[in-house]
Amino acid sequence: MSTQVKTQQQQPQEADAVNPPKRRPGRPRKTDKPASTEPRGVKSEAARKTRLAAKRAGTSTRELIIASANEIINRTGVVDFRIETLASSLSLSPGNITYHFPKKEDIIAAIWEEYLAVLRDTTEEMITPLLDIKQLFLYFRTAAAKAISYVGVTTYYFGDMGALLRENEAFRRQIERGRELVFAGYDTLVENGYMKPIENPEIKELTFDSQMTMLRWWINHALTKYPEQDLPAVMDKYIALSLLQLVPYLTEAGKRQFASIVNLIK
Amino acid sequence: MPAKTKSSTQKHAAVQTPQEEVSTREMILRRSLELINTKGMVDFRIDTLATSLGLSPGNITYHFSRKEDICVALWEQYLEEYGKVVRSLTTLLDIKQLYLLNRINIHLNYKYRGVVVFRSADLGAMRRDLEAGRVNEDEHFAISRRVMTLLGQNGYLEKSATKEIIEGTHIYHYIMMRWCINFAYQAYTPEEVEAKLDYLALMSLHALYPTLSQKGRDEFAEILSKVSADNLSGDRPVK
Repeated sequence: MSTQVKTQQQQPQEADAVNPPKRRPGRPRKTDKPASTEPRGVKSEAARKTRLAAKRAGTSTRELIIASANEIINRTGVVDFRIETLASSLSLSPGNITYHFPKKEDIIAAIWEEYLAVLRDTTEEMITPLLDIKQLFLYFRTAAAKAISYVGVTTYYFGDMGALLRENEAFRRQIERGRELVFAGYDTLVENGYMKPIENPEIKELTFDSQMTMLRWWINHALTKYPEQDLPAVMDKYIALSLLQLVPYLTEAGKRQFASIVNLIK
Repeated sequence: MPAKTKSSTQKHAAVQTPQEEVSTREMILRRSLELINTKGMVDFRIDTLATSLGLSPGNITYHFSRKEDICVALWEQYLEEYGKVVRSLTTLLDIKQLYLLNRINIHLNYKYRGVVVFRSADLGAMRRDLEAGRVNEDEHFAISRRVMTLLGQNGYLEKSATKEIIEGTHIYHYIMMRWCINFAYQAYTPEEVEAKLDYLALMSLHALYPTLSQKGRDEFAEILSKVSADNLSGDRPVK
């Protein structure tokens, strides 16, 4: 009797690995079965192929772990993320993972480091002397798209008091660097005739702070309204919003470019 | 053992509030907020909470079966207090009044900071909130829209501002009110944040700046000069 019930319960779990069976909302217990019901050691063909392909492409196990973990965290968030789930999705043993990363926090930190590196590489050189309003939009948008690729980890780093306090120094440096870049951007827009200078230094600072807040936390607001799959679709609206702060200073040329962007807000 | 737990509970309650009876539930919530404010939601543990209150974990889970339920209860407390603030919106609204509302709001955000910054910081928790039907921000979002209508009626918005721009500004204002506290914890040292609350209230008000009429900008400039000269009296945060 009891074995029958057990198999009946396991089947929907297997079929529905992505959408776990409905139960009372709450964090899954550690004793919950990982998504795969295969006995440990029997490696799934798909996972083996993934690992072989990765090996051929020169991807190390460490990189593979980070990539899969990021994929899982983007669906589950950091709280529900378990090393066991990660191990079974890669058909590795949990010990294989903990050899590279002793705690799940270490994986999360590695993903965060990767996000920062990717963000730097893709955005650092984007503000050129050719800057106009549309390019600024593109610059902000590129950064936002990177945050979406790492949404599970970024929302955690931007929204948990523990993470905010631990990383405070690094965050202050980032914002400092952001201010330098964006202020240089304002100056270039002025030189290129798209914007009047923001004369009052306090208002200039407020404008930057407001843009920064929108660009960093739009995802959190969006997640209160849309499921995470819709983030790429609603991103443009929020990036357009961040440019609203420049409206009082736009010249005629700037306003013409902004007119096509404002349609994205709808 | 149970007797011991009970007596230490009573002792703790007696030390905390000599006159008024504090229910265990209330006590749990208060201590949880303290812990979440200093360590964040992810590191917050029912065991630590129980130890610090001299209760058994079972005592806590009798009231809240999971730590997320504590977070939700605190979030609802916050929304209730926030609701009281926005109810003082009247047709007399001007920029200075709005600044005061934002200021009360940011002090409230600071009081509940651990819970407020965590809003939608974890995808799993978010999804479970949605499943449990805990979407209760629409009312406040609607009130933020009403702010725009009132400001418009009272001549504080630029006549040429289009519908899209006004709608966008309202969303901007709402996001700033909610998340400028997160910004503060990235832009300043944790010790500086409390002294920055008046500035943060100004920051959320500044979201409206692009649509303000000259009359609105003049009032904004006056508030700006007083805030930056640290000239607002009674600027200690509400406890």
